Amino acid sequence: MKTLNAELPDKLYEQVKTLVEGGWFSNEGDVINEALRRYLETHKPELMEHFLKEDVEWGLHGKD
Amino acid sequence: MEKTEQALIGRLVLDAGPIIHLDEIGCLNLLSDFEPLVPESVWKEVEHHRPSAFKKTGVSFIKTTVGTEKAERVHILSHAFNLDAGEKEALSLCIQHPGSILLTDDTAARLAAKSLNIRSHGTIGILLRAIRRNQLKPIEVIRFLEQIPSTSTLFIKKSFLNEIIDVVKKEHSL
Repeated sequence: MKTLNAELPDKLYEQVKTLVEGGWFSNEGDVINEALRRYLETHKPELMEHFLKEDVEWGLHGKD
Repeated sequence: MEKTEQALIGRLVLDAGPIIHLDEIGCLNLLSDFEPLVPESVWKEVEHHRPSAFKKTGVSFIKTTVGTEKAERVHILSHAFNLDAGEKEALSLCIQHPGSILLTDDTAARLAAKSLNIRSHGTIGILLRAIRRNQLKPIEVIRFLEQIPSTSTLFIKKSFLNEIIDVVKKEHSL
């Protein structure tokens, strides 16, 4: 387990706190972990590369 | 109706990222041969982060309200992919305007677009397309690509950017 120190904008922190106070998460760290996990799930390096390759192909050889 | 000297060749629905990134490198005019629809949330986002972008000449951005009809699949996907309001509205607009292309630099938004059979491209695609459309010379595009890490907030792995530059050089014997 690693510990990261990060500064959150007030509004974002309020939203995190609301989730914890509402009983959806046991603490702020769990919210951050879940948010980060979901972000990383949809931003895998191979996916980013795949879409960039599509752009290169369309950019250079597309029809429109 | 005569709109421009160059015929518009398609409808583009814009997310905030490419507007900001293209403006940062001074290439927003490359969108001039599209009909560029900007969802209201995206418009607000750009006005907040890059207010100068919409003041540029040459591109007639169209601030567009997303219809009230339920796009249930977009709603579901926006949760699954953690899409923000702008991305969600952009996808809904693409559904409202079949055949339009979504322009976004967000991987999750592009994944969601794929699920909805919506074509999507990003800033790099627009830059490279400029050669094919005779908007820029290959050497100019290479210069803009080289500038991206220092002048733009678009994140792209340096080694991959170099690969793209090499492809352009190779294709145009530079």
